Amino acid sequence: MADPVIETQGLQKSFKGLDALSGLDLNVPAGSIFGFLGRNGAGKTTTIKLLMGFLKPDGGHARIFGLAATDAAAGVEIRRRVGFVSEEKDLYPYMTVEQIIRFTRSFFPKWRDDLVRRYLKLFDLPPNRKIPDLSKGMRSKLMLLLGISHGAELLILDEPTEGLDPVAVEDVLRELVALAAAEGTTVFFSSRQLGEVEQIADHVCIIDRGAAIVTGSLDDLKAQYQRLRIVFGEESRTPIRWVDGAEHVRQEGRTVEILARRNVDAILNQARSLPGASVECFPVTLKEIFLEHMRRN
Amino acid sequence: MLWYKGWLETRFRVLFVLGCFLFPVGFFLRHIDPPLPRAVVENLLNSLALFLLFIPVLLAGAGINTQRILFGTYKGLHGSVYFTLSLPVSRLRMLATRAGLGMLETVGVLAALSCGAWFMLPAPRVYLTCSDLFAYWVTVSICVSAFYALSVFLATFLGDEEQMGASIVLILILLMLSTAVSVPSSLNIWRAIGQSSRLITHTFPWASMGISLGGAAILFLAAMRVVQTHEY
Amino acid sequence: MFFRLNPSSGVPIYLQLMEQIKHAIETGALRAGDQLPTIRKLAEDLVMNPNTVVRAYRELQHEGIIELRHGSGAFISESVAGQTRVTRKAQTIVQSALERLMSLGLTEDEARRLFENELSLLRAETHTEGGRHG
Repeated sequence: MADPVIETQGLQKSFKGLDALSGLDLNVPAGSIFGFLGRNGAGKTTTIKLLMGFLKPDGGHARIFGLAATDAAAGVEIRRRVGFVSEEKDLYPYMTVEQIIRFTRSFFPKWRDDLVRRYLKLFDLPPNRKIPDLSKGMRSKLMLLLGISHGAELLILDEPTEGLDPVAVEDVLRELVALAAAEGTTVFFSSRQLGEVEQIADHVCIIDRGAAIVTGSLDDLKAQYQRLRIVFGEESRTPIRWVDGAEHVRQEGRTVEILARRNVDAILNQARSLPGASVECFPVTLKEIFLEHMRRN
Repeated sequence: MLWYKGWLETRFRVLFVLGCFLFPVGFFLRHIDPPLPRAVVENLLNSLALFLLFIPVLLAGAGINTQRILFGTYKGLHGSVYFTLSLPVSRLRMLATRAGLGMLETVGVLAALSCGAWFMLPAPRVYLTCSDLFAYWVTVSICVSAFYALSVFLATFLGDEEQMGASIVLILILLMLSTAVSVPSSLNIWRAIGQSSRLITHTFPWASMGISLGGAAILFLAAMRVVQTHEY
Repeated sequence: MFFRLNPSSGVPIYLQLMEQIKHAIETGALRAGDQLPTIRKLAEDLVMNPNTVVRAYRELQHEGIIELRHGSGAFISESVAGQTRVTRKAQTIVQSALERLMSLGLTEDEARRLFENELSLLRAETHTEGGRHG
């Protein structure tokens, strides 16, 4: 099995005594599209800043391409192979689109002029316009262009579609997918939009309050979780002790709903064995997994 | 193309400085040839020195946290710092390039001002010779380097534009201290640019130049340290 | 390729894609010997993860429905022609089951819900089993 492109172990960071990250383990396989989901303030941007070397961790370590993200010399090598888009999407206010492309190009020997031409056209970016005169959406697209066009093996994107209209979002997602398919680029992106992550990611990590809640392949996650709905003939007075794996049990009258994270067949058997019970089973969406964990916390 | 970026950031400042300072410098130096009473000349030169200290402050930078060309609303940490830091360049190289460019510009501007002043002096130029002005240029360049380095050091954690205000305040405090505490005039850098300068004494203020270079070296090292450990 | 995927449903996307390809074969939109789009093209057209396409194609190959010819692409295998016979048999079974359910007095909707429920129960069991052994 190939080495992970991004690997963190016990990554910790606190600001002024408050924990932003309290031991994050990440494992991003090569060639995957990895969605990093979380609420505002969950620790997504802090993680990305640690990966890029803007911050130094208080504990644990982070490796990209097997190199230590905190080492200064390794950092230069890492950044040569990584395309990055920051949360703020701010660029130099004294440059035009064309100037910043020329500027960025000078740092990357593997620059792809063909990709630049394609994205300038696709994103409709006027080359001679000064950056502050661009709308926020266009600045996002410009930053994406700069991050994608230098033949990077890995993209680290902080909310790349934020502020974009639905058509532009679809364009961006399509380009990311095309890069992954054509060049085998690994894409690591953070997002608050479940829909985008569900659409293109094959691996997912949901982070809340600085720790990973759920992490792994999206297909495996969907297979792991099942929602069971059991309707009884009569309302049961005594609470039922469900077998291990029944994560979230809610009862309303004669209906009981269970979110099962594992051991589904054992729970099913137990449910069916109860007198007068009819059992239904539903697949669980990522949104439900996300909300269920938020509710519990 | 870090030089290009630095140039785009500073080119208007260079023009601004040249435009603002050419006539004051010329005005000041005119009053040395033919020579006025020594005390008057010394005062003039000291005032000129104060002016000249603005030049390195305006042109200094660390190259990492930059926002705008000259003036604008204070915004704290500008998002573009993340773009800059995401480039495959070491932070030390960014600092060295921007600080180097600013120093070259400072020295260049001082040269231009000296030449300009030379041409503004009425002929025949009896008292001040060309070599005097050349030596003046060398002296001033070396003596402002400490203040330049101070600005660069402040820029590493305040930001390239934010450092200007802080630098000016700090320099004024240092100047007031140097007049309050009696620093021997051979060591006083300000005096070296001002009343003790080559234009009057016709000698090089070696001690002051040495101190300035030493101070500059220490401040640059400190700036390097900050740049490597700073978190954004 | 007119495939419709729902990324927000709880059903893994690769399964949905497999379903859609099989359905296309059943309705005759795809026939034995037809070529499927390349992984890259399908991923771009549907804006979906290319690894997901790979997984769907591999599973379909495992089930014998498509062939992955090295260098040329993915093709519907000839053996699907035989599938139509199975489909016809299955159709007869479902027809007779429905007749019997209707004779019990069930409505169309009730019958549909029954089938869907049993199918999802079946799917849940196969998944956990697959998770243990897979």
